Amino acid sequence: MDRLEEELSRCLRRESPSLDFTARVMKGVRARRRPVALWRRWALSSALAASLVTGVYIRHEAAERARAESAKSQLILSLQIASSKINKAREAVIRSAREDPL
Amino acid sequence: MKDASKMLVRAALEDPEAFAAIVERYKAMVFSVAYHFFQNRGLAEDLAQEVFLELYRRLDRLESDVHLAFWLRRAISNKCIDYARRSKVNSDVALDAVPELPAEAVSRDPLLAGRLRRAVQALPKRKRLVVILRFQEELELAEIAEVLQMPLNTVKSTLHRTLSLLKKDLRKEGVPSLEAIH
Repeated sequence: MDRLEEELSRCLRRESPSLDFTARVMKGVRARRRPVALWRRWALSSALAASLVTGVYIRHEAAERARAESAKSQLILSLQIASSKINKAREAVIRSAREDPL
Repeated sequence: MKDASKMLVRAALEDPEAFAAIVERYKAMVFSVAYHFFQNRGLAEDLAQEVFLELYRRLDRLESDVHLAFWLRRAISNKCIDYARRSKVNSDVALDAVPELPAEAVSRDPLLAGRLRRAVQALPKRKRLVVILRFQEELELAEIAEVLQMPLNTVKSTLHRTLSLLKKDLRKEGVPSLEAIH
């Protein structure tokens, strides 16, 4: 290494930035991090609200379906009872017509 | 990857506050490249800060300690060139146009140190970076070629020509201890 190179090594030695440099960088890091954290918090809240609404809706739908099923069963039972009664009445009419054909 | 750096990167990924340890470790390196490039402390700190914030965004993509130092050197070099291009600050100026720069007490010859800083400051952007990476960072020519994305032979010839140019400029400036510079 010649004299010029020695002098260059001396002149271009590493130097330190000001004392608050790291603190300023970290302030920037925190400032950039905050919107992400807020965005995440907002997304989490939205997801929770959406799942709550969906849950309530699904539960409501299930209750409605159960009510409809119950009404359907009751209707079928009523129709079966009515049908059975009509059949009995019809059989009675036919029987009496055979016994007393005028 | 060196364990210490691996731990630093992992810690910073888990807890952003741990990123401060990475800044502490590399701040002199990053700041000094920009400072020796522009001879302006405020500007050098701003550019170094931008580089660290960019590093924070890309932290999860870094592969090793060597990669971290390499990435930081390349990032600050590119930042200096881009800023100089955009603002035309210290962009390939004549030596006469560069103001006198303070000579540091570290030099054996304060006059020579001041003139040398001025001469480095007057170098074209790429040549200036080659000199900074060679003498500040003590990088091998192949490493400089990689950081600046230049062919190795170009780096070799650039450094050779730049040193000759610096000697010539210093002779022209009439530095008293010039006789000692061969």
